Amino acid sequence: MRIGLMVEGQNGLTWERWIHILKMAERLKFPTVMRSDHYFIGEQQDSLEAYLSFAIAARETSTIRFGPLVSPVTFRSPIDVGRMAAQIDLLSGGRFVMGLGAGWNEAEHRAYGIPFPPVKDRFDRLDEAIQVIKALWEPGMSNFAGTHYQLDGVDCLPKPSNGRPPILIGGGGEKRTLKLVAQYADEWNCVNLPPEAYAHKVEVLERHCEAVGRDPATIARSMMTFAIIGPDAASLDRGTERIMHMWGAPAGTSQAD
Amino acid sequence: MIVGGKSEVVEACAKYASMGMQEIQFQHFNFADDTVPEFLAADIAPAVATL
Repeated sequence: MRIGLMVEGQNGLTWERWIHILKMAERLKFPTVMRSDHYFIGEQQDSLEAYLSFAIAARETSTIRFGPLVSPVTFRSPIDVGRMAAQIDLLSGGRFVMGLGAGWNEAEHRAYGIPFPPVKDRFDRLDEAIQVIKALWEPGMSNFAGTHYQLDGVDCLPKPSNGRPPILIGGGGEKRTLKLVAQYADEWNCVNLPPEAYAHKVEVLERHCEAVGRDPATIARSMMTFAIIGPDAASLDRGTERIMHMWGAPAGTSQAD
Repeated sequence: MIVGGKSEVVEACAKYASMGMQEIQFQHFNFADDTVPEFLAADIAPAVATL
């Protein structure tokens, strides 16, 4: 098993801190540094634009794989995402991971005036967006006639490095997300699932794979997890305090508890 | 959520690895403190590499 980092990019991430994390991750030989793609969650803080930060990651690192965990389909046109991803992948020598999801954080959409359609619509868009992005990366001309997105005789250049970036789909929704994983993903990333719940989701994914005739072993599996961990009691206390500051203390407790 | 020191984290990783998970990305949110990434790199990654 590999151990990677997931950076909460909306949580006060500055250029100085991002570059420090990238350098640290390579020094410590982490294989992966993913980051969230949000304007804010809760408190509004420094939050670097994800794709600008990936361009910096491409230039400041030489070994780690990196990408969004995950980019909501609601934030940007898949044309822009596919083009940026191809060019960042090229810049990094093939280390970009194309993480995609349907989006969930309604508050930031409302605050910035970004449309936040109903969940079925978001998943319909995600389905089309994945196809569009993959089409943009294919050699030669691409055409796509979808309900939400269209391509008409497009040869999106430059192409990515080494074929194309892996498609990572994040989430655990059993009807749509895991079906999309079975259809399109090179990697499935779930969030913070207990082992029993994870085992159940794997079973569901395997059923979707069977339905579309795909070998589930061809899909890499990873998980982003929240954690309060560390080498000693002091570091665990600091992690607990930080989590309570971010999420608030449970009812009936205080940070002193 | 995974909570604890080396033994708890390795035990949790082993459970997921036994079900086919290949990578866990741990949330990093305290950008002024490298303790957790250094702990993961020094104590956890080598211990779970062969799982």
